[in-house]
Amino acid sequence: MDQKKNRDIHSRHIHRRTFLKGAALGLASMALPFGTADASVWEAFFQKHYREMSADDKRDVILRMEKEYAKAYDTKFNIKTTKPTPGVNFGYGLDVSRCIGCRRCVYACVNENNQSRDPQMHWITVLEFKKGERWVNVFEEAKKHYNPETVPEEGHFYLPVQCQQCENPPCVKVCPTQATWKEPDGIVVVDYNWCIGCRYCMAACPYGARRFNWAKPRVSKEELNPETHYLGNRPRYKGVVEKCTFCIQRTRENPGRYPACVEICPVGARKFGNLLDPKSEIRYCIENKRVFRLKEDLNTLPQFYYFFAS
Amino acid sequence: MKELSGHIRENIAGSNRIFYVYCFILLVIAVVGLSQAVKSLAFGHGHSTMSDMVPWGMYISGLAFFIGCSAGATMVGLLIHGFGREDYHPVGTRAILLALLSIFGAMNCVMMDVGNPFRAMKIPFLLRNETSMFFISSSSYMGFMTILGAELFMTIKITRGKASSRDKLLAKLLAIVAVPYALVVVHSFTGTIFGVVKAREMWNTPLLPIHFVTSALASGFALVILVTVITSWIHNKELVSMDTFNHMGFLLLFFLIATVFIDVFDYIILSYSATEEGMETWHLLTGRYLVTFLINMGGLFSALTIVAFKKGRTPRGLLYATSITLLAIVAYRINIISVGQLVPLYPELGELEYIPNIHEVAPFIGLVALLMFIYAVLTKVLPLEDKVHASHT
Repeated sequence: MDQKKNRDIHSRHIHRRTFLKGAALGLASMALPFGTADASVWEAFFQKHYREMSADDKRDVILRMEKEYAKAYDTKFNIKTTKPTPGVNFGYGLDVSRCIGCRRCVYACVNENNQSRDPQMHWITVLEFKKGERWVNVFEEAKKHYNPETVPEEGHFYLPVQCQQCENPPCVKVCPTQATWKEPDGIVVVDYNWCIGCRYCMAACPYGARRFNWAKPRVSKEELNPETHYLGNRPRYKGVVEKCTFCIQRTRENPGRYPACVEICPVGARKFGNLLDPKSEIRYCIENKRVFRLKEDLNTLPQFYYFFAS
Repeated sequence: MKELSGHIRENIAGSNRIFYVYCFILLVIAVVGLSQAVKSLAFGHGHSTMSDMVPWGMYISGLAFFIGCSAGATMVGLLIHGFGREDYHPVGTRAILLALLSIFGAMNCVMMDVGNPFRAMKIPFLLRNETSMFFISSSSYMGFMTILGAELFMTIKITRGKASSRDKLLAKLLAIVAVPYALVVVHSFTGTIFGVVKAREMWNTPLLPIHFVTSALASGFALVILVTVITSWIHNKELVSMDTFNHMGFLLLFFLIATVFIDVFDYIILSYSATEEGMETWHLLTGRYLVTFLINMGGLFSALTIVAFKKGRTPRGLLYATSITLLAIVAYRINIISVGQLVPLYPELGELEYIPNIHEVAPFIGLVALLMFIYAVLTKVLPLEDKVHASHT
């Protein structure tokens, strides 16, 4: 009887090495995606950082993504990886005296950049201010969504806000994974395949310019823009952060195109160009108008200038 | 190993029905609560009340609270090994377990909060940004877990009388190393996550890392005392002597004074702020968040008053003082995260709102239940100092 009891105990005894092996395998399996764990999931999981990818790596990644997107959206996508042009540093100007608050820029941006329609996402927010009032006095009566019959409303002015593409961006410093960085042409970009969705960049952004995909973004097939850039308007995933990229898929082309918001503005309030080109319109505005930048005291050095032309 | 597994089996066999019922209830709460976290994992945080303007919610408050609770073990370890206070020995293993579970809880809060938890597991191995306080602090948690795990292993060895003199020296070294590591690396950098954010008036202060250290010591040590008192009552015998309870109360008093000192002057300066953001922060604290503000400050002052008197440093007094302390620190964590973000970045964004809903509260309660379940099982099966001592005598 005693022998039988001893044998039972021994049969249940796990050796330390076996236990450690099992525990290591178990922990490793927890760290890996499961469910649809086909080859592309693994490739995506162990994908290199965009800035460390060789031309071949980029080609493979783009091919994989184009396939994935084609399957998910039933549309053929073209994902570009156009590099920044040397000698270019993009800057943006906004004439506050001209803006009428029509929000055409908001929806042009949505259409161009494949922003989610459900839940709705806007990279540009247009703020309505009462003329002559100090900010501190309007806390209690401020309206988040102004909706008058016609714009501009009497006695008001408008201030569209989007990513300020700071020269000293707090969002880049705080990102734990380097999923967001500043490109040589001044655009702050996000790699949606590296973002862990911690939203530290959103908490750190003084301009409230970043958006999080709280649920799976939805864009219908008819509304999709298939001309995309890896760092810009390619379809995003649930749980990642996104933001304005100065329409990187347009502005980095040769010849470059204006961002969608600049193109659509009916009153010409939006200016865009190369800050390093002394003959550019944006340089003219900066040198000849009364320009200001938002929250200059924070030393984020936005490349987004507001001015009053008249 | 064989002896340890025998000990585990013996303890499980010796458990009464109440223990099993208690564990079953905790497990049910954990499963129900955490199923909401699985839902978030599958469908995103869309059903929560967090928003683009208030990107951090209850989980980040939970992270800050749980990390703070892990400080208790380092203090107990230092008292035993650094200052030779052998009277703290009966709570040594329990304190380490509490710290390990607190960090486990904190890391789970992060995992429940992020949009891509599987990708986040690559930190710090494949994903890293050395300028990010989030990266530094989350990496430091792994180091802290390793130190505490090694400390636990050594403490169990010592308790079972199997430790060599080299093991004892190693245990001493670990306990001493854990203190600067916890205070300088873990808690300070957790505070720095918020302190470096210039965009948020309430966060952007060099006082925050120091405050996180003092409040961590207060909440961590309060948790150890609370568990000691409750365990003593459950087992119907004092786990430590009355002198030790008195000493514990004294230490808690010291940590509370440090926390209150920083809090009071921080709030006085904030109340005089002339910036719009500063005024709005104060307006929120004394308006919509007055209840949590009062629980925080009132709780700290009440707990401080209780432990300031010798009568308050008895098990009953400590039960009240530590419970109030923990509640006050929870309120502080809620305030710092919520109020910090509720000041609009632009006034025209209007009044921001954040009240966690059931989809956020349920996983949090589930996590707490899971931690309590693991603690109950581990304290049952592990050879703790008080049990081994009792079986020898």
